[in-house]
Amino acid sequence: MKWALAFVAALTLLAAPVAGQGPGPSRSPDRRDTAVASADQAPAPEHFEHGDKRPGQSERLPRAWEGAPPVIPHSLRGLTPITAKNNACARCHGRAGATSGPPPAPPSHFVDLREAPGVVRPQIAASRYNCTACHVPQTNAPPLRRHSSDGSRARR
Amino acid sequence: MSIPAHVAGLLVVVQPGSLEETANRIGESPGAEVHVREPETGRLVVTLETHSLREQEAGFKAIANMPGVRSVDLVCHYVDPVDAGPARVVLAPPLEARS
Amino acid sequence: MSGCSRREFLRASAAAVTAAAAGLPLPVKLSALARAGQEAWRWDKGVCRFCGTGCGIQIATLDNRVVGVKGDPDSPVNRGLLCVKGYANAQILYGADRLTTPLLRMKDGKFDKQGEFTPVSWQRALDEMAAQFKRVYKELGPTGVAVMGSGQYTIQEGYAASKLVKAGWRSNNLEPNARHCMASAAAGFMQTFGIDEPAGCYDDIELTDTVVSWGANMAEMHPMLWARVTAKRLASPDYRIFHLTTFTTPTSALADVEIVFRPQTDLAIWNYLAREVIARDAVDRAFVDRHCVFATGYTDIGFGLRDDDLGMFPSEKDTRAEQRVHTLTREEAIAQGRGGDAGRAMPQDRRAQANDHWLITFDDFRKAVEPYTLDFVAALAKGRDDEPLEEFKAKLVQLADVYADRAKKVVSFWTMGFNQSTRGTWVNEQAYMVHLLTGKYAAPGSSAFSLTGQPSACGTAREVGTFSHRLPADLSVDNPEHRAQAEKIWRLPEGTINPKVGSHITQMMRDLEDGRIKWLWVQVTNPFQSTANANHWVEAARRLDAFIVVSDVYPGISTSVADLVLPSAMIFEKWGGFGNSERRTQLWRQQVPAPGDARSDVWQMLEFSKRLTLRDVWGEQRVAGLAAPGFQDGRLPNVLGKAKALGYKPDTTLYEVLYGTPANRKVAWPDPVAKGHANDTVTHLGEPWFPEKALFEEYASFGRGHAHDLAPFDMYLADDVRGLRWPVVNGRETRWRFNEEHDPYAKAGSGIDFYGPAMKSLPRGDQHAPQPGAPVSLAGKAKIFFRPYAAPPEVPDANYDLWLSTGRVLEHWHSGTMTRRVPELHRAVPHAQLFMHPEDAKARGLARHELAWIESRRGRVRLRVETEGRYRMPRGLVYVPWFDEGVFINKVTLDATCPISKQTDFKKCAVKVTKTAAEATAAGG
Repeated sequence: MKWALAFVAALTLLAAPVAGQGPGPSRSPDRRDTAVASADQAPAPEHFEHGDKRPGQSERLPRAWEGAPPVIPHSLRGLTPITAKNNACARCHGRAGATSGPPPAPPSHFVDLREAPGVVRPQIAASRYNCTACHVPQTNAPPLRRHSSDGSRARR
Repeated sequence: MSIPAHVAGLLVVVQPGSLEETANRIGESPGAEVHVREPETGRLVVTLETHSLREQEAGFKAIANMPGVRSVDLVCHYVDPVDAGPARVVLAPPLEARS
Repeated sequence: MSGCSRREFLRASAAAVTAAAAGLPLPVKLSALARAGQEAWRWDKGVCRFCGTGCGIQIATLDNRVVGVKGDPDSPVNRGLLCVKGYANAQILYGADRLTTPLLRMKDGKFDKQGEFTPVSWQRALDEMAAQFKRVYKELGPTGVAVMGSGQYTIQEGYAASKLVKAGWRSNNLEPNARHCMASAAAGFMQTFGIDEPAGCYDDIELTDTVVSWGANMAEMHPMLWARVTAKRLASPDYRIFHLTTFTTPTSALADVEIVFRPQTDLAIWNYLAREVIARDAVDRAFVDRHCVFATGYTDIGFGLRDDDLGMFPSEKDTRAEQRVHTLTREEAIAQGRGGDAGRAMPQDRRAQANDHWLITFDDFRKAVEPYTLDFVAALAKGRDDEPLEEFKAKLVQLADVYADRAKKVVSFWTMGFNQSTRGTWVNEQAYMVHLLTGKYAAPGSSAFSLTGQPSACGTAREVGTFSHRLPADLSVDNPEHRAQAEKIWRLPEGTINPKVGSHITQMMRDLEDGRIKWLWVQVTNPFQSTANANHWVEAARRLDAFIVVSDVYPGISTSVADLVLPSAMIFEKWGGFGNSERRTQLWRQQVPAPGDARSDVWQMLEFSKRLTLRDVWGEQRVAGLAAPGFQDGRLPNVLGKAKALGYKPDTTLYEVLYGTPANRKVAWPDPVAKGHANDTVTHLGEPWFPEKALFEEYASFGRGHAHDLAPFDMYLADDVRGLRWPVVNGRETRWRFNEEHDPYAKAGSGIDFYGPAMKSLPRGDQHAPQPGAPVSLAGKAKIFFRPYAAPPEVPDANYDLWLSTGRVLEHWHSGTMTRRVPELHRAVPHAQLFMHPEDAKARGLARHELAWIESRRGRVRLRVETEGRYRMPRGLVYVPWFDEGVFINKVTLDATCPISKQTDFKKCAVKVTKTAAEATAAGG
């Protein structure tokens, strides 16, 4: 029965204590209490900081898997939004082939496969202009559920 | 019970002028291997292979504390269970968060 | 690989990755070693699991596990790019709490609704499902059972569900969550063109000179299409972007002109534009005279709320009353040409005739838009208190300039801002109104493009027709010719299919609440989190005599209210296909097995169908309210007699009639198109035929020759194909429909042929009502609708003084069951926040990041205030994304719908925001 217990545990991670709300017999403990008044007892969402490390102050964070886009280890305060006239990301990371300083975008980012495949330009391709579509900053939030890429294995 | 292997890729930056000496010292650390040396910038590509996360941390700290080492960056970290299944890539949280 | 050489590979890999990250070259020996590991990776093409853009991806697998994903460089949609969720396709399958075994609530070895979830075998699970189905079906008939499906169903899953429900159970209670997503768009297409889905395609992005995003936050919601728009914008100074929105979004950052408008005033802005087009003599007379007619409909059509008081919380009374009587606002009175009626109570008498429309003259139309002057509309629509009125007016004029300029092409984009509205069908029609008036439609670079939210709301929900009123390929259950076509293809006796339209998804929840539906199967959706006014439905689910089955992949709110949970295979763990916004159908092979005992939804339906015989369902059935020619009132006929002529017997199972037919069994497995990939549907079915291919081909036979042509199954899986845009005729896809140069279905010599067949015979009338007389045929034409500005049923007042809008964020998909389990995505946005203007927060004593209650007449939830971040709210409007089950915002939202499309308005209701008391904070813990 340990699967049932594990499942129960997973369900109760965000569950509130049974409120006994409304008509009818009381609910079994594994059912998340979704009654009207349960919002009053539901755990309040915590606040997680994106952190205040400035660019250059933070360590690179490991990638989720080989080839995954890197996440942003520094704060974006004052650096976004990316506009037509201003792309702060590209100012630091747009120097192709740089071997010191901010990690440069890889060669793939300097090629536009739609307009000119095979042509490597000196600036980041316009289709890759919206950096934050692929690269996101991180807070210190602990995982909601384990994931096999956290070092624990998925249940099989 | 399988004994997992932790294989981490580290980017180490050393003081200019001490590259050879520091690289050799790192190479003698248990589980550590130096693969690439770039004298112009003082950078080394190092892998660190241990049996446990605790040993990883110990190895990481040992390298970081060596004379001549300016910084150590964890770039990737694989966990390989010996028994079966492909290696899992581990997301290593920033050092301060690890307990 | 032995442990030793594998360790070497890992070491080499780690070194290679580190060196690459630092831009350092790796010694040849090491890089060769690292590559050798990757050579074992198998790559195959697929489609992203998430939004309606439909990016092509390449998936890498090793040892039965997905190890990597990249944007497909050969996909015309995204050309090698992916957004952050696209990359997460490699990780979404691997959350630790994947559902892997059927779970039935049991006590003392028997099913018990009050029991705990207990692992059971598939046989036990399906047996209980069938027993409960028969109990309810006997008691309530075809209207007592229901399936809530999805715009994330694969094409084959949707088709299997459609057959099961409509041909098997003779029920029309099959609805997708796409009802919440695209119904207004589909209704807009059907009413305007007589056929669904856009005329143009994504190519229009590069071919146009102006993009107008109407409420669509494309930067976050269709990121790879936005990448294409951005690329053009940066390359060409003459390419301009307008963004109309109710609050500043990341899309605004790249727009040349941002227009922040008050909720629902998009209806007024379109009419201002139409008025301008006419006033400036910019109407494309030739186009309009040749290809269009003018039309309008009733205005007193209600708001899709309940007509009764059943289940009502006392606090809901005043909003619900709007459904029956609506007090005309001053602006509505002006906008609807009812000058003296401001403040008048208007009975909503035409709720049952919301779809009705009739022809009017151009003169009627011109008079109808006359009130929408710049002054009137600007005063009504200006969204930011602190924006000078003259500035706002100037922007509206610039917008009119681009639509009215004959030399400008213009692509208009929209999604949920239009569709999720109590007048969603109207505002979709208004987009076509202006594009048709100016002749800017169905031509390269000229497009009114309805962006789809989900990956297969088009390909499955709409095209397969998994709706309460539909059959495949735009056919309708209430049309006798359409039923006959379906009965022929499906080999059913005449009179099998139920002509009475079933319950739409919100109605299904109300039926559950009222005890009219007592057996529900939920597939590929999380409706107890996604349906507005959720407090009602989560209570309803616990009714003692209702049996709820949820097929899902991760636990969520819907599984927590279920009686039976069935573990399902995810994308790439099964064969499947999606159809994206631009009509591009894309298929994929199974790549990896599903974990544990999880099985494909197709297998689940096929296996379940073995437990029902024709005797269970094809006898006489009661259907309350059924009144159709050829049918006795309230009754579906016994068709078992006619079934004999087709070779069926009363104890023939639904499986044999619907799925394992002689024709389908001829589609053999194994099949060379598989290229060595497995098919676990076949493995578990234990029979050597190929369900995903057979069902696809059978489904395609509905549309071929009827302007919905799909290519043969194998063509989509060819190595050099990256999906195909239908209609695909003689192997060629169609980029611009209705255009003679590009669409083989457009009649020669027509130039533009709006050949859609539905609703093309209309009576004449005036601005207010149709007139008696013979209907006029509109073959080949499209309708320019006049639709007035109308106010929502619930607006901010003294008690609930803020607008609430809801939606998504880039990093999360829908109810978050997949994306919140991906560590990077969860860490990026861990919780849903309350985005509000800093002054609004301050006025309520709230600091940034502080906890607050957000409350409506229907419920309340607690969350944290955000006054900065990626959105800039105007005063009086707040925004909360709905991905977070811990911030269950649908407890607060209103279940008002467009009366035509039945799509919920998730963008407008009235709320108040207050500080949380200290004791409540302490109890929460």
